[in-house]
Amino acid sequence: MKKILSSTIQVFRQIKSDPMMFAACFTPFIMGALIKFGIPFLERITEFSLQGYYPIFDLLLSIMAPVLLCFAFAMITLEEIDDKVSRYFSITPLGKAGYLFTRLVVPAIISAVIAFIVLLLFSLEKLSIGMTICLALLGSVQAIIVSLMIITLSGNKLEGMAVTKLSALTLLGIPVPFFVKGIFQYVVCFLPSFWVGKAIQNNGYINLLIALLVASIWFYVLISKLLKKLAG
Amino acid sequence: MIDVKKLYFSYTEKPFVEDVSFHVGRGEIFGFLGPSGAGKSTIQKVLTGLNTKYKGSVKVAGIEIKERTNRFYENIGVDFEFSTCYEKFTARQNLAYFASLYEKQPRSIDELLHMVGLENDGDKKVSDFSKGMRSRLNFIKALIHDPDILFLDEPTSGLDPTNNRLMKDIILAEKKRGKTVIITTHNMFDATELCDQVAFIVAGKVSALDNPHNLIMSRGAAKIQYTYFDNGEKTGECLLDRTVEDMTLKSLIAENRLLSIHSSEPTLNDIFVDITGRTLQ
Repeated sequence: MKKILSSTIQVFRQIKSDPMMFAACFTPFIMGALIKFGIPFLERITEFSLQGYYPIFDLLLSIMAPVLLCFAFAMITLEEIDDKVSRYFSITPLGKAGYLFTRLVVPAIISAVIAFIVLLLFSLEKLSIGMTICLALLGSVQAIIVSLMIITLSGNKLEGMAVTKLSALTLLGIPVPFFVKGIFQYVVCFLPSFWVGKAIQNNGYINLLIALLVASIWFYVLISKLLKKLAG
Repeated sequence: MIDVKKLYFSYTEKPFVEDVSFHVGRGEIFGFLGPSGAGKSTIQKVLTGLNTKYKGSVKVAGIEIKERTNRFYENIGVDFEFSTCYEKFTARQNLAYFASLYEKQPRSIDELLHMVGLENDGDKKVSDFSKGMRSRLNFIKALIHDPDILFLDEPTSGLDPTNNRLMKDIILAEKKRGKTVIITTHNMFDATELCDQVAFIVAGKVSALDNPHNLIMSRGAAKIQYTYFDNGEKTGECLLDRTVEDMTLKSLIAENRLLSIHSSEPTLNDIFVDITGRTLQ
């Protein structure tokens, strides 16, 4: 436990020393406040209703908090791979599994809590506690996919920034159920975000389970690649 | 302390390390000597648990490597050839962080920094360190938790002669403290000076395994070379244990006509070339 804590604190130390990463951790709260107060304000001054799209804003919130925190952790991990520090952990009592746990699972747990708080504070729709918890958890699951993509597909921090943009595409499944009708929407059924979008659209928990299943396939593929990369 | 029996390892279908067996006792320094790509680092990776898909038996501190847990690393220190420190952080912060990953009481950071001459650089960021400074910091990072077994990959590579000497003295001091040290190197002088046993590794196989002195002596006695003046400068040569048979040398000594005389012992490199037909560099 001491090792896990020490290793997690080390990531936060690194985040603190990087202004961009530091800012990324606070952005969900700023964005949440902007959505919560900005959207109704825009509606009032333009008399244009966005109420039909409130679920999309809530979904964005549920994903943004985990993705940004996991993005910061992923960039730190890339830096550690660059510095060849990551390989060193394999020969310490922390081990490869402990290292991956602190770089992937710990941020996912923290970000699920943050996503839950952000949704409680800033969601536009009245979400049930059950749905809020599910969205926060699935937000963090998708965030792990994003961080795995960043760590696995890029060789350094610069490439990491580019892959971040690419991996953000996996979140494009969110609005599809709202805008694409009929069978064509299933073109993006390989994206967990699509099933999360469907879940909030239909208030259907079964779609959340499908999202989890699809996410597991992504995990399997990406973690296999990551293990090969760390073995280097 | 380390027992390896019939070790086989391969990255592909073709074997990369074949039929390697050796034993290292507690408090010994064991060296792997061989050219780049011979398999030295791969064997070290197997010994440290980084490569576990091996065949045969590899026991370190009584533990079969395939069955090790993370606790195994409480007593293992590894110094990779490349730097494995956080560039953004100071030497002191790096050492404090890595020490926090172990349950054992760490060694004094100030003492370790002083030991490798970095006492005035402890608060400097690693990114501002020279190659030699990084190398020394990397080395003491492996010592921070006072491990019983040390794995050192090219520990003197990139060091100036003063720091090379310093590093070798520290390694010998660690041996005196009872530590078992495994060194991977292609520096024959370091191996001769430091190691109790050396294994020549070529193409993934052990070509010879003995203590450096025995290996050197196996090539035969040292030679004597001398120069003298006889219608111009001339050179003579004879075996050290056959000087009495060299009449020229005998008369030159009697007539006090020698210009120079020196012995030349074979080096570990000569032995390596003799046995393997390869050079170490």
